[in-house]
Amino acid sequence: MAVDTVVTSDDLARFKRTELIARSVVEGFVSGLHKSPFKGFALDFSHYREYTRGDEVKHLDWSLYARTDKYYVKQYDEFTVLKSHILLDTSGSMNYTSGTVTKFDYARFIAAVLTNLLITQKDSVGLVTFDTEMRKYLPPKNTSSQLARVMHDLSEVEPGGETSLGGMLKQLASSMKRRGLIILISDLFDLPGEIRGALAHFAKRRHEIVVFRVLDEAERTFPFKKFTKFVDMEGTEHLLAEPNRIRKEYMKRFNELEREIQEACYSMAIDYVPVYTNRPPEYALAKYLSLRMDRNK
Amino acid sequence: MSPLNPILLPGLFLVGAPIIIHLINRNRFEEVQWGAYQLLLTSFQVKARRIRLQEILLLLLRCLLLAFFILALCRYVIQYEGFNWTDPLTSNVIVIDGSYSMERETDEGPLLDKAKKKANEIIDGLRKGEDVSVIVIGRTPERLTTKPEFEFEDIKKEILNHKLRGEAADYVAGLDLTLKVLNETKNPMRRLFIISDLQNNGWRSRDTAKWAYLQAVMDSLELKVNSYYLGQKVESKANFSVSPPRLQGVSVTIFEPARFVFSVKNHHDAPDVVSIVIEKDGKEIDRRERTLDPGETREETFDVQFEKPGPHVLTASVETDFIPGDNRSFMAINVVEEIPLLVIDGTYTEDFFRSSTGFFAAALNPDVQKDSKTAFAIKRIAAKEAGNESLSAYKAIVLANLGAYPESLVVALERYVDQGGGMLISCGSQSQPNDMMKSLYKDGFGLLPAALSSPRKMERQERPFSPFFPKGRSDIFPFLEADEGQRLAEVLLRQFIPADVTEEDLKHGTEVLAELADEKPFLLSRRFGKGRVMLCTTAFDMSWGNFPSQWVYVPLVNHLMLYLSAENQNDHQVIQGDKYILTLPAPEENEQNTIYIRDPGDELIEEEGNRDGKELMLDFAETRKAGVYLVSTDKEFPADATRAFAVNIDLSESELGPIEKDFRELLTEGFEMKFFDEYDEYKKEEEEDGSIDLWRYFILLTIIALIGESIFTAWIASEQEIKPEDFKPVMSD
Repeated sequence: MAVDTVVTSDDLARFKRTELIARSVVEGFVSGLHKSPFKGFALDFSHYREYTRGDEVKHLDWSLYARTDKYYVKQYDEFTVLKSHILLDTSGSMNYTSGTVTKFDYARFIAAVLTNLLITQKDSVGLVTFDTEMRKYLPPKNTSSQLARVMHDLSEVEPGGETSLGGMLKQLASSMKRRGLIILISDLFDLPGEIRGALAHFAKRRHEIVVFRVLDEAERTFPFKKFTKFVDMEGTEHLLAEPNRIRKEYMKRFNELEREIQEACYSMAIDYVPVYTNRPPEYALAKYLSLRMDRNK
Repeated sequence: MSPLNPILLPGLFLVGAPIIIHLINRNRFEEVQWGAYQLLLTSFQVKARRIRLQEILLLLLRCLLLAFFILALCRYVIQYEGFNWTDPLTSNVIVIDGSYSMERETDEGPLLDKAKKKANEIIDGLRKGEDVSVIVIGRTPERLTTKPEFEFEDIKKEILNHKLRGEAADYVAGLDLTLKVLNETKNPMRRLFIISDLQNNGWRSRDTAKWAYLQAVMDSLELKVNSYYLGQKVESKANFSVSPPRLQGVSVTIFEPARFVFSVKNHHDAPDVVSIVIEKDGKEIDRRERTLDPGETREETFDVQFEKPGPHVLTASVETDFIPGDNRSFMAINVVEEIPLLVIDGTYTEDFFRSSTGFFAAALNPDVQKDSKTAFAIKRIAAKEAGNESLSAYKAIVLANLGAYPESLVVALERYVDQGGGMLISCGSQSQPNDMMKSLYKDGFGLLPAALSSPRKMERQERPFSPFFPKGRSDIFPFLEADEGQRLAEVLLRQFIPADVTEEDLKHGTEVLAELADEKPFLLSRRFGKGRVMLCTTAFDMSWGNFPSQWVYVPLVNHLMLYLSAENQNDHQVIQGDKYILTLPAPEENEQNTIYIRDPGDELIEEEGNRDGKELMLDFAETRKAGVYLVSTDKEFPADATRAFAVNIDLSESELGPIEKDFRELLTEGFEMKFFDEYDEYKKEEEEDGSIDLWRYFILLTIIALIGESIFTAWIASEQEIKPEDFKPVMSD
């Protein structure tokens, strides 16, 4: 299934051409802010700009001042040698939707946007899809063809199977010798200990980690009223229950999981971004990216 | 514990409704594929036991709620022992045995007085708001109150003043009325008291259909009745009963004495001497003493010569004993100056001996052509004139050699015999067996005693037939040798119509009084209603033999007619309370249909009779007083226009045997009746026993269950309530 045919609802009609939009989202950030949200390790001169109050004096170009009698500040492009991995959860639970857009569609959209962003920054981007084990691995590259490969893989992948974050991420972390950026996109419906352990493997190796937790609004509010037969996404198990009778317990456990994920992320300096499928993805991304840039100033 | 409204008991099936609804709802669910399945499963597993327990408790509460409510509607009543806690108001029916056996003396006076006292004690124990009805059981039950009585003083006086009518008890009829009265009552509890003397008689209806009927009535009324039988043992003492005299044999005229028979029975369990008195028209004509063994019944006969025609009274009595009610019996006899006979002749001519009944009439009255006075007043008519006659004016009717039986005549004859008339049918040359079968036999349900076939004629070489009279019917044929059967060889008959007596005919009471060759009947008899029909299969004239010329002809014809005409002389007796169907001749010119009746208490009763031609008919039901009733269309009761009938008590009441075990069981099963062999035993039960209507408690339990269910439901709902803080704010917002 192609990404551009997945999101077909009216609400998300504007996402039809994902790659293009992903690019526009990214360009918006780059051209508007003139600064990468992700910092690299080497600098190249880009252009001058007039000095404004608040700029550091060390960046003034004194020779240009001598010629023009005006204060200019040197601007540099950040060249990334950053290796990024996008880890996309393809377990069955990601296929859930209470509306028209599944969590998985939403997740791969985010993945596409971020890939585009990173490629635009000349960063290397790789893609890992997994459920209980690694399904596909695309090594990081910063070539323009990488974007097409990532997009292709995102289009090809189908969610299914169970989730086991702990084991899978440990295995992945051990294979990544060099520090880099890890972007985990998952609903994180696993045991809190497992999640914490999984993230800890990356944190130990001093990777920078961003976790996008993709959720459906119904998973938060559990809005069912009538006697319901809940079937797991694989269709192998089912449960007959009166939703009213278990809503409170479910919400309590949901909130506990959320809190534990937040605490784990906080303690390991991981960016944790919960996103809900009933909200526009660019809104969530923009908010996160701007927060991150502010933090990086 | 038993319900007052058992009809609502099936409503208890509704108790299962919450469970059924729950199960139905469990099968109606939506199916949702759920991503966070493990999280949900964990949440469910934590709550599963609690949810199941809550569901079970909720279902239990709802089932109990319905059960308590239905039980409240059913109005269960529980019997308590040890408390006098008569919580529900009761409607009471007191049934007092008013039979003459209740006249028996006890140490505390007559048994009836004791029963009345007990009834009043029961009434004294009633509370305000409770009601009572009183029924006195006799041959027909009598209700002392027209409706359930809430004011007790009047009814108590009514009970005390009630006089015995000297009848036998009929409990089946009494219970029938009792159930109707019970159905009129409104209080939640019903009590039935039968105050009697433990006598078996009165429950005598062994007809299980009647009991089944009463049980069906009881069931259909949907009544819960607490029934009590309060009996009283009485020490046995000498007691004799006298049956009403009956005419033995032939009709009573003023020309010769008539013989009567009655019986005396010793009901005591020891031999006793009894003095018997016989009276005619109130005057003693005989007195005799007898010693009777325990249980012995002795028949007594006596002869009476009546000097005047008209109604006469014969009384048989014994000295006053333990039960006075059964010491005296009556017979009403309507003595005639002449016995009016109607002879309908199929070949009637003015030439006396050319007709079929010339010899017959001459045998009854040799000077019949001179119209002289004898025992019989004979009127000979042709068949076509029969429709003009008032048949009830005759003691017996003879149909001789009739060629046809018109429908109207058959109807009139059937009614005549049914009401007690005697009829003799003789055959002859005009007799048409097929026609007689159709009109008179009617497949065994008509007048004819047996089926007839084609006439049989003696062949030239055959010996003529002679009649044979078997032994044992000296009451009809006293002129024959009584001890053995007798063949009258001198009577030679050449022709007769064979009669075939079937098993069905025998069941209908046909008996063969004399036979011909091949054991074919010569003379047959059969009861029809209250009367009797005889059939002679040959002719009474000389056409089919020499019968009229033989010596036996005259006594046979006379005794047959005396016997037949006696039928309705014995018929003027009824048992107290039974209906008496009276018929009086009333000339058509007299347009008045009033019938005057003078009862044994000398009270004059006027009734309107139903006219049927020259007769007035009346179903007279006011036969409550034992004795002789005079009936006339003339208020002055002249002897020649007055008839009499006697009303006697039902002597079964004299049998003082105790109520049998099977009746007790029948009543215990059918009416849940409790038996007390002494009146005072009930008092102890009353003191110890109480009952409580549980409906209030069930309503209370219903309310408790309802409140419990509401609280529990609200608590479960509050457990499920989601507060704002339960929603984790979305971080991305």
